[in-house]
Amino acid sequence: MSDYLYPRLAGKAVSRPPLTLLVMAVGSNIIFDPAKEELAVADVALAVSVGEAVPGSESSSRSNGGNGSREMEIDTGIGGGGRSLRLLSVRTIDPPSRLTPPGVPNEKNTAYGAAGVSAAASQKQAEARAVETENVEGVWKAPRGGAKVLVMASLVDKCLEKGGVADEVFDALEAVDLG
Amino acid sequence: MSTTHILLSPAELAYLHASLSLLPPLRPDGRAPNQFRPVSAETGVLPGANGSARVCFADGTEAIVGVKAEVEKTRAPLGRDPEEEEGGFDPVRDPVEDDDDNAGGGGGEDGRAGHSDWVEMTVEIPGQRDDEASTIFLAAMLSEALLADGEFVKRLYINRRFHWKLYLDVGYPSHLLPYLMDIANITTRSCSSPRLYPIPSPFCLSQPTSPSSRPACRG
Repeated sequence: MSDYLYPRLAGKAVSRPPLTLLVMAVGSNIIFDPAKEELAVADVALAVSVGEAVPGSESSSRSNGGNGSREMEIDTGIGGGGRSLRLLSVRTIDPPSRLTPPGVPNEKNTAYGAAGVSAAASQKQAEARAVETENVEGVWKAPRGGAKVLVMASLVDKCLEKGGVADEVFDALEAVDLG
Repeated sequence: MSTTHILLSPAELAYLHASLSLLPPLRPDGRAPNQFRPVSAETGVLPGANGSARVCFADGTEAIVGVKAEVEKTRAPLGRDPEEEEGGFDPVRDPVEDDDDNAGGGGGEDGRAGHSDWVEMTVEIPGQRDDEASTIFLAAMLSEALLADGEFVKRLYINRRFHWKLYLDVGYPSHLLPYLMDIANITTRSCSSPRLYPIPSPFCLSQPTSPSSRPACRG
């Protein structure tokens, strides 16, 4: 006889291990499970760990007892059941987009017959700086600087949403057959 | 993370960025913003481990996770008499406290305490050194989630003097090495399935821990 590390009652999990979701944002769009091409242009990438509040534990009983009636009024409807999610940890991931070389606008590109064909070295350097700083539509520029606080907050919110992605993944994992 | 680099031209990057900035975003593979790639998972793939899982993506990348458990002596907290720790039975103590705690799972909650040292996670990526920063970061990130609420390590408590030590090894057997974040993604999700792993009860400890004895250990 052996016990499960996460005990099960009548084939149903009583508690479950945490889940780590990889989330990224481009502008204000939030994207889950990015592929490598998508990560290559990410502004922010976060690894958000979400856990299930253990029923009967101190924290969950407090939250259920405290605002149980208020939660009843909000009918999120979708799937969730009575699952209450807890944020366990958030890690920022350095997206590879920061290491990409910038594009060169056509008017600066000598291959497109730009003015600086006979440009001196010093002028070229100044151009390079301009390329780094100014924003040209349709020309790639690696994201610089930190993520916006609002974007980070909405990333985390979206992970903890009731009936959201974390709920969906928890349900899917529940369906995995334990051999 | 700078070692693995995806080769895209600035024009491609600009195009991807522009299409992902649309409302709603247009992803290269046509998924919805919160849609996951199809994943298949199976459990119990490694006969020598106490629990294992294999997670595969549609693109052929996969991750294998093995969990091994062994009994380890709990180190005496500072200030406690080491003699007592070595000596085993102490008649002055309440004998109930020295007993195995298995029966009183819920009841003896107050006596149970865990330590984050009891879980050891390693990530192995072929072609990368063990001490590569990204690999260590990945392992730290995964174990951090497991240990965050402190509930998990409490389950590894056996009694006052012994505990289970868990070794979680994440391997990445695929030969084609995709971008590291893919691996992060797979493993993080496969990591969320230690619930799939049966832990042998102290019954099994008298048996040799060779792979052949493994089916007997499973519940």
